[in-house]
Amino acid sequence: MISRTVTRLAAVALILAFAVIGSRPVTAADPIKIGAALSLTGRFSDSAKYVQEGYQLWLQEVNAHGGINGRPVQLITYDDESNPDTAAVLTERLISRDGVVAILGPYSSPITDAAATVAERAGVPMLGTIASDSSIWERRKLHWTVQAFPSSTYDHEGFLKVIASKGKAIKHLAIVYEESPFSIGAKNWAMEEAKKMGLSAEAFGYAPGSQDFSSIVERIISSKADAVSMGGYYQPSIALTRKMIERGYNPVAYHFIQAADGVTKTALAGDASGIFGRSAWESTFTDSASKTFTAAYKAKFNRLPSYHSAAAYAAGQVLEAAIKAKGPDKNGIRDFIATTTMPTVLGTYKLNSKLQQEGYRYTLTQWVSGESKVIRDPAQALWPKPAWK
Amino acid sequence: MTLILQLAINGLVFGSLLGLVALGLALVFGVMRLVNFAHGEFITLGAYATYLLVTTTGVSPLWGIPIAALLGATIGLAVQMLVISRLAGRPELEALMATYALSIVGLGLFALAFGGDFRTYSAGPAGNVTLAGVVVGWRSITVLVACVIVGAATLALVSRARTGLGFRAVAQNREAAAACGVNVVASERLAFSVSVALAAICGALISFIGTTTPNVGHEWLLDGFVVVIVGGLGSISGALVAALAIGLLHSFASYFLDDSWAQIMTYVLLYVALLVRPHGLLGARSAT
Repeated sequence: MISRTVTRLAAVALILAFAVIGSRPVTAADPIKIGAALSLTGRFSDSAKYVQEGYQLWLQEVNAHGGINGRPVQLITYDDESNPDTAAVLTERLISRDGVVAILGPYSSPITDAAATVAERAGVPMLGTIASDSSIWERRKLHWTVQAFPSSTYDHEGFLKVIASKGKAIKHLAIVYEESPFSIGAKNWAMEEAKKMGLSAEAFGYAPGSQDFSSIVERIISSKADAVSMGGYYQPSIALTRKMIERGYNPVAYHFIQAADGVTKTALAGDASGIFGRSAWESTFTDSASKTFTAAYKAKFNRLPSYHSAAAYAAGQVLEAAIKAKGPDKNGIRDFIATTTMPTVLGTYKLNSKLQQEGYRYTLTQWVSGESKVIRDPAQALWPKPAWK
Repeated sequence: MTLILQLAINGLVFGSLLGLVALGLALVFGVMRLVNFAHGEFITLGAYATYLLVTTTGVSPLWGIPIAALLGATIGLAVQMLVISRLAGRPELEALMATYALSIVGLGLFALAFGGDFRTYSAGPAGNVTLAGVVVGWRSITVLVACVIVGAATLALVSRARTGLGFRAVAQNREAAAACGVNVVASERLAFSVSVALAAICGALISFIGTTTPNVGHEWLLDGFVVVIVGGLGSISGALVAALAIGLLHSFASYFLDDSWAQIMTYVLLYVALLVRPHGLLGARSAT
């Protein structure tokens, strides 16, 4: 009888204790909780680790400067195993169990898309750190999720600029695209721009997962295209390029959007020379923000940052400014990140009314003498592309 | 005319690779009545083996073909003895699920070992040759020749050698073959081992002209199944004919229509084949 009473009292005391702890006012020492589900294992893990390091560097710097408005920042990170469904579950956990006030985006567009569904339902602001696919914001109206990465819509922009500068003789442009929303969006934008430039442009689509590009190369040859821009994923781009090489088809200028990555050199060796690409950011950028970021990153992680790291750091910068201005209030943070224009390491952060990125733009790159170089001035580009070896 | 020839050659190269994928599937189904969902992972095995061989030793990727074949045959034998042989006499669905589970395990192991980024190399024959206006790259020629040699050797093994006689006997009636003195267990082991070796050779060739990821084999597997069904389940020669037909169809449809239409037409062909010849192109006449 006595023991039962003691047990009941203990239970009541425990409930009261939890209630007191749960309702105590937030103090200056309480951290501001931010969440991130990242692909720390699985197929995106190599690149996603750069994102994690970008977040970690930003977090370290923020807390070294006393946090935000005097409160430390805590970043809760989970591994989504490169799986959109897992990312959605973990985003739910970050919001409902951990009580984060905002989410720094996961790796890749498909995972951002899945996480956005949860963030929108729960009403928690999220920065799409590595989400280039603008169609995510085209297919549905998002309110809480913003694009914090250069938009795929402008994938071909740099190449069109170099054609405008160097390719007066170019008459026919071939745009190769994957039958996927991001690639179609980029193709549509490029086709319109090409027409404005007086180019005759023709688009050549391929199905996702396509294994054989020989017929597309034949179609491009038949179209008499003298410049080719490939707007699909990396693997198909390498496959298309190899087919062009095998077929001995040498366009005056050739661009594929992922070309700046070092694997291009491994895959194509000397044939990479002259190929244009585009990059969200390069560690060779010489503006002061990039130089400071690169130096700090190298000091902390003992390797050069990738564009993923820079995008992650930039997302942190935007979120920091939002919390500084509005406090840890979800509505305030959302309104700030949706409307602000501010400089970051990635460039000028600015969104359009659909919350798609308009400020960040890709930089043109080109393989010259075995290196992928940033082409700031199109007039300086290697032109025409050297013939395949 | 040059264009037609060019498209035909392109289609034959694609079709020959598809044929090699289907050959292994057809062999295992023909002899063991097993739909092997893990076949794609054995393709991936050959691709990664060749990638590692080329990037660590610097040898020509052509060496990847025999090395992958040997590795595939060994691993195939081990998998058959440890997993597949235990499925004998079990319901077909159980066997199907077991190979599916093998596929998932393989996919996970490759992802753990190599990560998600694709692997590639630039070594190997370069350049092209022009004949009557038709341009063919040396890599494509290598793939075509390798597929023809391996395909012909497999056909010879199945149709002429004593081993092939065992295969065909087991395929027709497992119990009757055993009663007639055919070593059924050995035949099944060998058939599975040869099938995995074929998949691994196919992977070596794919790494040669394409890129390698943990799911590279998966990407070819579905088309491989289509070929096997169109050719006639279990028919080796039917699979080869169907693969070349689908390769040519893909090449011409992709040029004159669109790449997406080419894929649609491949599956339309599958439906037509199922409606008009449910036993496949050569299924009735030359079941192995």
